[in-house]
Amino acid sequence: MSETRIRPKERDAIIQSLRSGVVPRIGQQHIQVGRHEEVKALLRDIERIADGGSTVRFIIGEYGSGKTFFLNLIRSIALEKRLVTVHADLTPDRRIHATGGQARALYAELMHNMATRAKPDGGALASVIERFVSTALTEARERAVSPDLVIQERLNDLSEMVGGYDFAQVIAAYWKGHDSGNDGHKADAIRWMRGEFSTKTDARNALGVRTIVDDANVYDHLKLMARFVRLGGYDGLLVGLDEAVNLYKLANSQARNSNYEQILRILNDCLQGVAVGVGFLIAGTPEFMLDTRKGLYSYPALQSRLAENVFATDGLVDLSGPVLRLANLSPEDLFVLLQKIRFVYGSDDSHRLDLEDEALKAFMSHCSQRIGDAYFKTPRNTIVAFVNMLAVLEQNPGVKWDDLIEQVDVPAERNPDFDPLPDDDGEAAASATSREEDELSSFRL
Amino acid sequence: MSFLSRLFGKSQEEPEPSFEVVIEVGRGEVRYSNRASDPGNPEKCWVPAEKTVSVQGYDIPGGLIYVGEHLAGVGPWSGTEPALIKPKLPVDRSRPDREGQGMGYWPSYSDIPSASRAAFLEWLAGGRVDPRAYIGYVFIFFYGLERRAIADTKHFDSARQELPLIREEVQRLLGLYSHNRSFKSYATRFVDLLDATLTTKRGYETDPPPPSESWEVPLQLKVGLGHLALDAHPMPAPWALAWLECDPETHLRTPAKRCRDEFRRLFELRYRERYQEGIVLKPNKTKVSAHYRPASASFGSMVDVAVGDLPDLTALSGPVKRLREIADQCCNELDAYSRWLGRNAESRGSLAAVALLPNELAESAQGTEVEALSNWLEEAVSNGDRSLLDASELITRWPSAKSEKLTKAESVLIAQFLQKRGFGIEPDVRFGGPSLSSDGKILLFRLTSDSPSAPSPPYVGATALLHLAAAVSASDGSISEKEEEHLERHMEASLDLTPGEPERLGAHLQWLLVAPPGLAGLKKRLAEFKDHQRETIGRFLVTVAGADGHISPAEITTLSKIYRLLGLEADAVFSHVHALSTAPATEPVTVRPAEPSEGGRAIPPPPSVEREFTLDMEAIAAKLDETAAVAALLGDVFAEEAEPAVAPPLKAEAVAGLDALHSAFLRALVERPAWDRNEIEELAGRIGVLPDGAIDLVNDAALEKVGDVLCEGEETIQIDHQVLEELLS
Repeated sequence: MSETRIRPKERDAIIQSLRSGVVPRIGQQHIQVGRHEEVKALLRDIERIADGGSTVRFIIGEYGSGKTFFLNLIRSIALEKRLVTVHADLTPDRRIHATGGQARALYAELMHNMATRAKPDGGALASVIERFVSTALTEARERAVSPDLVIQERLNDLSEMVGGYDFAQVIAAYWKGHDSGNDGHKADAIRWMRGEFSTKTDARNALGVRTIVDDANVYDHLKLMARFVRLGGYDGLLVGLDEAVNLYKLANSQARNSNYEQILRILNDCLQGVAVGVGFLIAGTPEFMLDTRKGLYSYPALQSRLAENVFATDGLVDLSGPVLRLANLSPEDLFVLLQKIRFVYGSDDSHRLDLEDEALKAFMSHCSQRIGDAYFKTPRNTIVAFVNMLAVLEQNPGVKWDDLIEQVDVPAERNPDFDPLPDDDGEAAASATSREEDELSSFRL
Repeated sequence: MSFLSRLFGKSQEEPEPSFEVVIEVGRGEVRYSNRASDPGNPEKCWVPAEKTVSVQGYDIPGGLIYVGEHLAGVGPWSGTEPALIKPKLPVDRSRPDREGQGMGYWPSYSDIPSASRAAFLEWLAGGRVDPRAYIGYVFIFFYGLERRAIADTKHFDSARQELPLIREEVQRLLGLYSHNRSFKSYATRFVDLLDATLTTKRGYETDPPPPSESWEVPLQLKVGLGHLALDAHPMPAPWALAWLECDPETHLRTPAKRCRDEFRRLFELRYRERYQEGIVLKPNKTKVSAHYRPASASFGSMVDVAVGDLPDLTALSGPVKRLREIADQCCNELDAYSRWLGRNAESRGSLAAVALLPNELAESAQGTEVEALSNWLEEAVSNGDRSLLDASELITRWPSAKSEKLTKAESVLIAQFLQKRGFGIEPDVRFGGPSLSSDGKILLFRLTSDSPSAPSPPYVGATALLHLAAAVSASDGSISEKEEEHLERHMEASLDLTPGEPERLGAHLQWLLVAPPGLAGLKKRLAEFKDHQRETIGRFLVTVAGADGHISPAEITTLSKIYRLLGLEADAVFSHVHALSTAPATEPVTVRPAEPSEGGRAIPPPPSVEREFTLDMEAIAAKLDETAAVAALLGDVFAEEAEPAVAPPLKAEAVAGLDALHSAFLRALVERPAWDRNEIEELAGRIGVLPDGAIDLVNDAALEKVGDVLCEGEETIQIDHQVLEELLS
């Protein structure tokens, strides 16, 4: 571990994120603890995607077990393996299936977050398109034919797929816009690809295409995008969907079921190998899967496909199935994690600090006294407090850690998943916080 | 040494009697009292405006000061109120310290030297008008006003009634002493606070405040929004924009700053489109309070002053998120325009710039150039729907045209400008036509409002056929009237064109007939295609010809000519036509037309059953597929490029596994430590690569070889020269 070079940018990103209690977007490998088998399984998945296969995984874990962290870790591995990744949190306004534009909103968010190795922070859609066009240009130059023709030839594959024909048209439109210096046309093409056109008429007038990305074809477009990134010189597409518990929380059973139906479709396609070069990671809490009333298990076809391997109990594991369960951190895991954070923190010469393992133990025991087991089960606040303490120690070289630990304040955490969902209209979602206050103030005994 | 004890009378807020013993030693004082801190009664010390008091022989008119022996500061640890004038403290009348030499940073009447007290009292007695007065004295007076307005108003009605008076007084002081920046800033914020508290008007009836330079949301904005929510009045667009601009978490992209006026106009338009009158805000629980930093040390720290009983909407993130969406949309729409301005800073209002504006803004754009061209257009097209002109007439009216033959980009700009003014032009680069050249002809026509700005595949197919047909017709030297009529008829029956396209196709044909494409070049280019491609084209043309349901002998003649042109067997036309016409019939074939029979009974008409309209989706997909392939093939044929589209291959040594062009791009990056987005685009254009793709490629190569990225940033792109050196080594 100590040989790994940590880039200053990564170090800062990790420390910044941890301090504000969010999962870092880059450099997760430096603070990954354990989960060796799980990572290996996902690595195999990524290789399968790169070979033109398809996978789907449900990352199931309790609140605080590190689902989002794991998702981001896999995401950065995938980027390193030359995949393109897209990811988004599911919310009441962003679902896999909908009729009121929420599925298109999910697609737009996914495209907004599209990342490549060279652009890991998102916003890589234009880069991906231009990489494709660039390779087509090179070929056109070599063969001395028009780039239009090469683009069309290369996208021929896509044309057979649902929506593929217009997809190819839009890519061609991007090139034409570039070729004729028509920035507006280029921007329209990008807008179309992002799913930002809301009416077909607009799309037709702007680009001459007859279809748009809409609620009904989001999954088809993801499959198209997967094929497209492969044509652009990447190895495949990884789709990360976090906070799947929001599907579980949908009050309308019909809406919920049609989302599960889409998940079933994805599952079937991926397991049967119909989709090419695409992988899905769907992260959620156990109730999202196991609840037979509202969870994935409430949908019989999903239940039979996701049911646990009956032999994989009592410590035996089977990581080949679509469901991957993340155990909560143990105190030992947390100890190693704190060590790693300490290492990352001190990795930059200007931030040297000496803190022996004794201090880590003392810190943990302090936290355990303050908030009990929660300190390792839901370690977010523990880690925030730890990084803050490191910062204080660094800036005040005279201060001894044993003086400081007693003052560390670690608040207990609350699982926001238990909060009720706001009503379906956006108005209510916008003022959710104020509504909460209302509810509290009008409480009577 | 003097002992002084006092007993306070009862007031509403201070029901308990209290007393204190103050021991004064020299200037300092030691205080004993029966409570930890006895605040004293400000109401008793306050001198109202109409009263004149006399302190140490100075007659002070106009009041608005605290005079008394004891009054504690507002904050818990702030000691004696700094603005309190203690009449018993010694004053050195003989040497008044007018320069303020004995004054500290946070002056307090009790602590300053007696000479300074004399100067202070002198200033007060002079009616507080001496513009040369030392600013510390003004501040001591100002402290009193702050206290009265912020602290005393909580307890005393009388204080509340004095607020307008106090505001007026501060405004007067501002007129005298605003040359002192510190005083100006404190006093201005104090006036703002008073205004917000005093206003009886609904805040939103005035204009919203300009965006502040600090991170804080201006109070006036909070008050206005609070009123909007309370009245359930829709938020006007300027207020929405002001909110967005003041929101510390919103970062508006370059277009919002570079072309602020346009952005504002567009934002208001889009906002109205989406929310009509405006968003109706719902009151929330958080109340508006002003975060006020008093000048007076009396308060000890920042104070939160409640302003009215208004909900503080800026505590919510929901509404501003919705506004941000609109702003993002507007920025995207203005991107092209903004970049143009970035490249050509002085060209605001020029024709080219207007061409890049979003439709709504372009329609209302003004300026001499714009109006001159618009008037000319109106005149040119006034005598009929279409008007055929020499291209030079238009080009001379386009000031930025540099040569007789325009580039593609310039032609696109012209077409965009015309479209935004409601005119179409043929040839149009966007629809596959060649770029404009002064020796050519152009056709101007009026556009309907929903005219497309990009061709649909059927349109491309239709023009391809027209091209070939026109080429064939013209091959015998001239186009006969009959041929022209035939082409026009065919055009009308063309595949399902989208609204607006038939008009354009008509114009296109007319233009085509004036300047028929040369056959020679066509033959050569067609020869480049492979056999199966040529056959695809042939079959496609047959389908297009048969789109109207039947293929006339005249059409077959044309098709045969085209087949010969394509280098296909002329006989193949017949078999292809046959294949088309033997496609499975969907309706009964009429063998013999029914003859009306006499007599008999009329069979009652069958109940009209709505036949379900179904299409063979697979066939359509196949057809569209074919159209696209052909369109791409033919697009190349008719692109009359003056210069070869293919740039000569660069002789550059490949770097880090990149191809020649991208290696050249990488090398060019050495020139500067950082590049503007515009400059990168220019550089990429010069080399012949696409900017975003090139950046992604070189970054990828850098990650592969060095393990770090080379270019970072969106608007300004920073180059890591260390990485670059390693890459090039």
